[in-house]
Amino acid sequence: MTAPSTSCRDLEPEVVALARGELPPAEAAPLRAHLEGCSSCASLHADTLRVRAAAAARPAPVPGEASRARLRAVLDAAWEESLAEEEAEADRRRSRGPVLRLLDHAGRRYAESRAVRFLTFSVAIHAAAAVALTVHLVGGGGGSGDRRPLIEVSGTFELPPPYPEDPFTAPPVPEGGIAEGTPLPWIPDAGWPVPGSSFPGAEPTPVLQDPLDFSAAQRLYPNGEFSAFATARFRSDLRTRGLARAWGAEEATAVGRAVERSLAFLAGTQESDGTWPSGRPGDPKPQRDRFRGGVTGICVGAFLADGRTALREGTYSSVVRDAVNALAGSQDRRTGLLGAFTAGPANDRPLVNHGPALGALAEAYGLDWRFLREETRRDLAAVILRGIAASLAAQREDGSFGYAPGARSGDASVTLLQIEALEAARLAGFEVGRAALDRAAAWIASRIGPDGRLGYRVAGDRGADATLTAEALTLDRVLRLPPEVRDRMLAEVLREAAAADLGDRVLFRSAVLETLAPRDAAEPGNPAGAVVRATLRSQSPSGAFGTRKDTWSLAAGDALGTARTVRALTAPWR
Amino acid sequence: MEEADDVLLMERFRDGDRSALEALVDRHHASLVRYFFHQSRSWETAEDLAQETWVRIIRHRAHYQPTARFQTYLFSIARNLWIDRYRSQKAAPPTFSADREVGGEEGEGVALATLLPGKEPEPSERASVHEEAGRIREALEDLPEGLRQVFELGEIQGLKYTEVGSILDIPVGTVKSRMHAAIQRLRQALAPRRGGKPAGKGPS
Repeated sequence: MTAPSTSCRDLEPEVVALARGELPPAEAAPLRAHLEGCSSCASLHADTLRVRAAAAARPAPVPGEASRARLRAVLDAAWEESLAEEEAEADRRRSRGPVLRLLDHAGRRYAESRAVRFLTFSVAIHAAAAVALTVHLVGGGGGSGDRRPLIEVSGTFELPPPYPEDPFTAPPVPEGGIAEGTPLPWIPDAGWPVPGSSFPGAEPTPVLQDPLDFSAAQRLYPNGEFSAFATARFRSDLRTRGLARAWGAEEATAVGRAVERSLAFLAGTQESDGTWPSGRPGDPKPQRDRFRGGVTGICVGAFLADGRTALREGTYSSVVRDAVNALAGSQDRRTGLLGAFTAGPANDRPLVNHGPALGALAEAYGLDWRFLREETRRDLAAVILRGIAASLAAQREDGSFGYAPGARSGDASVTLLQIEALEAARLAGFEVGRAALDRAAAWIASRIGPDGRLGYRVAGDRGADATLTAEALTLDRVLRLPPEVRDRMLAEVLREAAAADLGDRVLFRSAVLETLAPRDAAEPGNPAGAVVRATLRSQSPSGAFGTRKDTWSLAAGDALGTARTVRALTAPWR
Repeated sequence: MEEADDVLLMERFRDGDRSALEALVDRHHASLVRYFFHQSRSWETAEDLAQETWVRIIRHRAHYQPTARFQTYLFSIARNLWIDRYRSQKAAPPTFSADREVGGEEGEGVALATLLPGKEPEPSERASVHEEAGRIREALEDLPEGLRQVFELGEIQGLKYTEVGSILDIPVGTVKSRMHAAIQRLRQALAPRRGGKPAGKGPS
């Protein structure tokens, strides 16, 4: 029974509660009776139900199997991270004091990479701890006092043990190349390559049976790189922490926005075939096509760096898909080279295009391969394998790479591009063979002069500059340069960074940033904050990071500088 | 009872049983994604934040105390995450374009060349519900944050006023009156031209 003195206005919240099933039976019954005779309350009751039905019918994405698998991977990593943290906390209680003693400020990154390799290959450490450690190193910790004492390093390091038996021998490329349509000899006809597989003739390596079995993937890649590679970019907690750690808490939000604006710029300048041109608007077509493959590869790298993959549904997935398809479709069936969008004299530097294109495809594959349909996976893997083979076939006797296969001399910038691509392929699970990387690295090391500058062709040549040197430093993990050499390089790069006007040197700036990304912004002497501020100031209203100084960037256009900058800014959580 | 199960599962997880988390994720992940999607209108943000909610649960599991239903605990974390994200992005509110407003299904196992967000034909009898859903969505965007939060949390299956109140840290009476205010505004969006009695007026 409804109390006659109560006005309907006071009853309304109760009517809504009734329609939501919130009222106990003793209160519900009399209110229902009231509804029988009150059209206003009855209509409110009916509308509440209608509103709820309409709200429930709002379309919303349902996490599919790919999203679930990604979630599982992220949770596995977080779980292992938390176990390692607990263990570390217990250790800390047992023995106080920082255990991670580093040689010095400059040696840290080296120390970490060495220590990780040393630990994971030579010490029977739980895979879990190694994974957590790598994720930690990649994603970064909290403040500077927050370093987790997982590894003890003091004095000098032992050299890392050699990589497991190198199974790769360069595939034979027949004289005069391979005729159109002929299956390439190194692509097995039966079965299809998956991460962990190697070229025919090599010792068989373990192969993942179930692509969704993340823990098997971790066992297959015991150094934990796979885990970090596959999950770090999808973790916004690592992103937040990484940005604040490397660039400073104040800059972190602005950096996040700058990345967003840059990606929007890149998405807006992608052409309808999925590529980005080189040069500037209005340049003749050969100019626009000359580095199209290389620029496109680097642009794809920017999206991937921020965790925007081809299959991660969202604003940019179609951008990445279109570009990946364009790059895969650009492969020369005869040579296996990728990224050629022009022929004849304009295609004078095919390896400059091939490197970034191969790296982008490998990374796109590595981040999404578990979710690709089987035939797509096979096709894409075949393209990448052919691309790897083409790179390795182009490697010169002395370990270097020139502008084109068969070039008379090696070139440091091209060699770095190939190293970057082959490393991406290795991380994506392709057996690249350490020997090729080591030979390339040795060639690079031999080109570093006493002043710490990397020369273009020989140490101390006219092309030796800080940009090239900084770019080599970003690949230190692969190059494994002797500590005293890398310290010399770093000192030279930081000297130049302090002396130069960073505003207009987009490639140098982004290489410096990427070099500094693993460190704490708060470290004494770390110029990261200043470099980040210079970077943010130079962003144009369109979101681009352009330049008029870096030669290649001039030839390649604003997309290159923008993509490289995104890559550098996002490095702290990769 | 499932609720008791949830708390038991969370306790088991706290004590080191990894598989208990799987069960909780299976049960609640979809509503978590949905909650974040309706807040952010971005699939990536929704996926990110839902993941991060679980990561936080993993990280802080040692401190879990079973004082309330698990969903209350879960969505308190979710709510805090959303506030953090909302504040950090206030200077540049998320935008979305009309053709992207629905995140769509994940494109799993689809050839790259053919992969496009799926567009399922909708049964015609559902058209009016979808039309109303569209109007509700727009009306929700115009709702003040306080009302919107109460409504959205209330729409998560099984969350009661008391629980919404404890997630938002407001009294139950306030939840009740905000829900009423939200419904009054949303119902107007449903039938703008119905010409019925204005909401909130008319004696019995």
